[in-house]
Amino acid sequence: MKTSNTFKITAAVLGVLTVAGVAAWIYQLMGGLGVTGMNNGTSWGLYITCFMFFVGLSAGGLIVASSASVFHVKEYKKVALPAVILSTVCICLAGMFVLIDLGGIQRIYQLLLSPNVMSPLFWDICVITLYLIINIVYLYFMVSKKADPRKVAIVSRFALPIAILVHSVTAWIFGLQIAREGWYSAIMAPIFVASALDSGLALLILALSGLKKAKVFDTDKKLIANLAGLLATCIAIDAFFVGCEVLTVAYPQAAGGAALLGEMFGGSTALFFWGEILIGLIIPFCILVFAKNRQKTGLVIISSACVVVGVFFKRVWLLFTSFIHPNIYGAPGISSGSTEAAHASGTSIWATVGAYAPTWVEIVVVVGVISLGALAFMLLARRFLAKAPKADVGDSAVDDRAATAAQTV
Amino acid sequence: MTKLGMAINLTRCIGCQTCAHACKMQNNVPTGMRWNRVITEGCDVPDGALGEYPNLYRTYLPIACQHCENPACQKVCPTGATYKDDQGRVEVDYDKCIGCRMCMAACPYNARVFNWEDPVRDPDFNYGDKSVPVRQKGVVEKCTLCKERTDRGEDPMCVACCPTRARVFGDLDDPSSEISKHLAGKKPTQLLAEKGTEPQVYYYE
Amino acid sequence: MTGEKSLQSGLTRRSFLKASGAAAGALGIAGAAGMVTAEGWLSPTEAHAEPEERVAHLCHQFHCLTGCNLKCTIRDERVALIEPSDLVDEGHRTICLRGINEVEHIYSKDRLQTPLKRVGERGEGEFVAISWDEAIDAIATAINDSWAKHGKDSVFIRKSTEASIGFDFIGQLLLADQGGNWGLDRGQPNGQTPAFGAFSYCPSRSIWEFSDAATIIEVGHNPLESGIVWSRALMDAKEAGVYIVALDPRFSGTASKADLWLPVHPGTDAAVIQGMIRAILDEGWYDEDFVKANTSLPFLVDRKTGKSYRSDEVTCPNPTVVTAEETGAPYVWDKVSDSLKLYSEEGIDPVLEGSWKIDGKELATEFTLMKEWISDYSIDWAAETSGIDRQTIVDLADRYANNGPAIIDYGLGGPDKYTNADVLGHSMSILTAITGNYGRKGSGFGFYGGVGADNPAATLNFWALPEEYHYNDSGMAMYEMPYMENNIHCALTFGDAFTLEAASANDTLEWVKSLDFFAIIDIYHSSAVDYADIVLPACTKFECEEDVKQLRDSFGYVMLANGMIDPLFESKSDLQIERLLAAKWGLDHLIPETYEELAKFSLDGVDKLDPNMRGITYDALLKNGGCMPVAGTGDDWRPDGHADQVYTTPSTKIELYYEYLLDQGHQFPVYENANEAYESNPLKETYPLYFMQGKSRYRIHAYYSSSQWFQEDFGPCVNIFPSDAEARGIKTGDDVKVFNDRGSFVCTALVNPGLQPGVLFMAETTYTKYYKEGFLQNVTNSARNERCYAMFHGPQIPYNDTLVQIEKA
Repeated sequence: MKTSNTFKITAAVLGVLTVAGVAAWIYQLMGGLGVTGMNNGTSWGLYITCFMFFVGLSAGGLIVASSASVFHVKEYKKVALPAVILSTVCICLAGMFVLIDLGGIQRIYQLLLSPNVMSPLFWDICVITLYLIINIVYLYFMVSKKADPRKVAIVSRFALPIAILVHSVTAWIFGLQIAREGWYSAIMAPIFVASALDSGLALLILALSGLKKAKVFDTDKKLIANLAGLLATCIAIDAFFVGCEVLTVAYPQAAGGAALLGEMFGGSTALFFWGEILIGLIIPFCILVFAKNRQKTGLVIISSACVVVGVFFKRVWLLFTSFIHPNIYGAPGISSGSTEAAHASGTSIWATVGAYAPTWVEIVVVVGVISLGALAFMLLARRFLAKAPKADVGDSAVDDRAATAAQTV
Repeated sequence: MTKLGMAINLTRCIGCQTCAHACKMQNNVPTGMRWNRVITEGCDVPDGALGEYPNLYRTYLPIACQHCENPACQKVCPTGATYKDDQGRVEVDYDKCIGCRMCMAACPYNARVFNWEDPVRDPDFNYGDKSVPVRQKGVVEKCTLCKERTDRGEDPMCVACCPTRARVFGDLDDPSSEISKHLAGKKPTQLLAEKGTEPQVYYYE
Repeated sequence: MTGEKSLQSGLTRRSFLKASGAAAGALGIAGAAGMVTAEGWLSPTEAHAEPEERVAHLCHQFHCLTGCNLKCTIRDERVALIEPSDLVDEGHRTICLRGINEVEHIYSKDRLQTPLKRVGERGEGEFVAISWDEAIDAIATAINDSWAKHGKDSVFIRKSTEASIGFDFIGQLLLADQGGNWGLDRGQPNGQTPAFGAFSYCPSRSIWEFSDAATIIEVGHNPLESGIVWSRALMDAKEAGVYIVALDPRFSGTASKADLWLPVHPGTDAAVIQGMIRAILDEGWYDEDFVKANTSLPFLVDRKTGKSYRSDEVTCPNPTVVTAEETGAPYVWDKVSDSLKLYSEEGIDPVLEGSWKIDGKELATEFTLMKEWISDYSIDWAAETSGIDRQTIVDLADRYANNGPAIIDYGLGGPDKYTNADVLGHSMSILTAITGNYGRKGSGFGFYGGVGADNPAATLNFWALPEEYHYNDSGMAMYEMPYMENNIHCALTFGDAFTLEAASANDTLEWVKSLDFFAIIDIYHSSAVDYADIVLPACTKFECEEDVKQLRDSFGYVMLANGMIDPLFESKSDLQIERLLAAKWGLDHLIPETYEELAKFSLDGVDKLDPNMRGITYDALLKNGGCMPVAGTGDDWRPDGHADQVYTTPSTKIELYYEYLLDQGHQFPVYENANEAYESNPLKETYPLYFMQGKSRYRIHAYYSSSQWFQEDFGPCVNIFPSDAEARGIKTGDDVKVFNDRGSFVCTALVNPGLQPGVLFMAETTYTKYYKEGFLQNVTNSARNERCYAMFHGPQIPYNDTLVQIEKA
């Protein structure tokens, strides 16, 4: 296969963006996290948002791929490989965002020297590592010359629970924190899983459409429609969980909950909350709920894009709304930690409510990381998908063998 | 067991910020951050007021690390950099801190501050107690209950400097300590007691 | 460190620090107009592996009237840590954020680093660095020129309050005018002094008696932000269950701790007090025995002339300064003999109320006249005028008169900053006297917070100059000079007197600009520096060329500052600056060479003068870290002040009838509106808001303006009530312009419900550079009340007697 010019140009652009991102990250390492918009009041920002987002995105792929084996969904088997590649790339990006967010990455060996097993962050690091390994192993078994469907089937049995676990543990980083009104919720893990399912699926659909357009990998239109149907279901589940959570917070009409919902409904994070409801839930669901629409690739693509954006919005409001109102409110508030205020006169080091806006450094880093991901996906897809056996040939055989293996395990 | 803690008399607290600045000095706290702060509770401006004119009221509330018996920050720290020491204090081992700020998200009191940059100091030298370790960029810090002073048998600096003697420091587990005697018969409250973190800093009126 | 170090060795020790300081100083000048930075000069010693530490002690500020003894840890010749001293007893182990903050403030970027010479226009702040020799020469030349051109009385030298502690030589040596010391924040004392005696605003009992009172009324006093460490006494009282009342137009810290906040309209405090007097007289709640025995109220007054009926026409020439001169003694009507008797006769029982016709004169007691006076003031009037409702005034009067001992503690400042402050002082004197709340445990009246009888005083020798050297006081207050004919053409100030001790800055600074010459000696680049021709950098009280510095008598202790660091940059101590100046006229031999010499002189033989000083010698002091108690000092020191009910008034009674104000009709305090700040002032249509200033915990006047630690918390901001802000579209954080006909300034708005509607509040002045434009003294009122020229302290500056408008800038 010849390398097209489009591919070359796209790769070059992504490469440049990646280099820019790395440069921005080096700048951040030198200057410290002070070059970001984070502060003592809002101590996590765009990086952690992206971390949550990409953990979620990575789920869709692996869940689709593994459920092909676990639940014998034959159709999905066809897209298992691109799905796993996508999943691998996304989880790598998620991990990178955690590392980029560390203020003392040079001391990261302390995680091995003196781990605290009580820390959800420690759990998450373990689970993500495990998840990454599973992805790689899965990928290996699928693309290996001696691809053994039995092994694929075995790995997929582990992959599915771990995929669900990885979202749950990520959710618990937030959901177990009694300090934050908007996070501390038993439904946080289900919400994360639901978001992972719909955003991951949506991204998979987008990726498959992209691959099809690039003529790298062809996916049956029927399968896309099928996936779109699943996406509609996931959106509904996601909406249901969000509804449960909002109702539970709202119903007691307690002060803390009211302040939180005030910000979500009409405050600083309202744009993201309503954005998610509209773009992430209502619009795509209304489109995809009709079987006829699911047949139209264009509409499916639009809906998927909506879901991805919507879930990103959700990460934003989920994370930041709980940073706005400190539990104990009063002026002058919280010291920002910024030394920019050193020579100002007045109360500029203080803030009574949390505020955050990403700086150019964060944006460049995020763009760089995503570019790296896109580049990686392009290259991996080219490497493995283009060489993969023609989608239809022998597919059913593999499928059958896998199914047999699944029964015997 | 020793369980060091503090009792703060809100009736006597006049919101003068002496403790906040004493802490800043003693602990070499860099520009832009405080380990200890005094807020005007519920008000959006310092020295504001609640209520309807002329029936106003105001409460000054000093807040620093609450040295919780059940510290949310310590649980979540992935490297154990935050730990509960044998004196019942919550401390940070700066050499272990990887700067993930999980503890900041977990602390219900916003007691923790982070070295977002290389610390800047005015004046430009390490002021305060020379035995206080100097922190580097990328680590979290907070009230240590003046570990260096209390290990020498002295009161924390905020206690020593409080102009109205609104603060008492001591061992909560020792019934004969000044703090225990002070709290006996009072109705002390803990900040955000409903969170179950069991602060070892008590407030009373 | 020992106290043996000589001036010489002190100079050696500073060698390299000084050199690097000079370099930084020069850089600073080159950088921009004026001083730039104190950063950088410190860095060379950072490499020290093992820091060298020592402890220094000194007495801190006096202008907050707390005089804390501070224990300073000096590390590598830098003040690294300041904490309460352990050389004093528990009660005196005090510090507040200002003392702590010196760790930053000593090194702050506004420090003047080298002598400067103005190159731009006055006020522009354009300077070049010059040498000390050049600077001193320039000042001497200017003074000599002024003498030659305008005469000896043309030179003005003033040390602002904190700068004048300890010694005050150069102004006297040069026979300069010092601009008097009138009025500033002594409006209420003006009204109190004739009743209770000179300096009676300084209570004769201890502030620690607060806990013995049943009621404390804080009149415009906010110790929680002014003399912060004194608020401990108030909090002790609060915990002891004392009922605390705060009269203040704003919800001050003290008001927030009080049981009752009375948000009086600005400048109307006297109406509340007069309403209380009315209620007490109407209800008969006064202490008749006390009034008869200890006040002038039974004295007889000739109704026609208004003069007291006395044995001799001669009255005390100035009732506030009691002299030994023979004066006539007032008569009373004795109930026992039913006849006229001298008030001081034994065995009489003076009638309190009544009128008699004697010698064709219609006589009435002061008490009767007082009742007639108060009949003009109904409680309803008081309520309407002050904004405090009738029942509250009556209830407070009841509580004050009938519920046990009570204290009226007023702030120096606050209500003093209106032209009618003497009316308030006089009214409070009457209220106190008729209820007998004086000279008894738990009672009192005055300014509590550092000037009371809280500790035994030390005895120190005073370094006197030969008789021929003294200030040439024209009798004119400095703040009047812009408005009254005078012969001042050359000025030298230690500290920023011009913007701190005068209102309506545009007038003051216009006058300063008109002077032939103005030099300032200051530590920081204060507001007035920009107007000076020559600027000399002084060092802080933590720095000295020698190991020791100021010797002070502070709240029962003798404190000798010791363990000083070397003067930073090119700065010098006040003493060495005064010596350099004096040397220009060959007068330096008249003043001490060193602080050590001055301290030794001050302590020489004092134990023979005062047994309480036994054992306190220079050497002993240094051995004790520079701090020793005067015998008797302790937490339980409680003088039984005025228990004898003898007052330093002509009659030795509390004199409530001010005959010396007959011409003004103010024998009793006639209520009057303030000069500008009153409700019915037509000017309110243009300038509808009262503009008040007061203390902030972050300042002592302008001092600490350049502290970066404080700048993190606080800057120039004006507090405005929410409804006033809303009406003008002002939000917290907005830049706002405050203005009236006198001028304007721009600062940040703070929308604060802790005020009353119609009132703006701002903390006292700060360096002009920290404002967006102008500064608060541009709008303040400089009117003087004519009546007050007859009074002990003279007219006060009515800073708060100011109306303004505010808008978004």
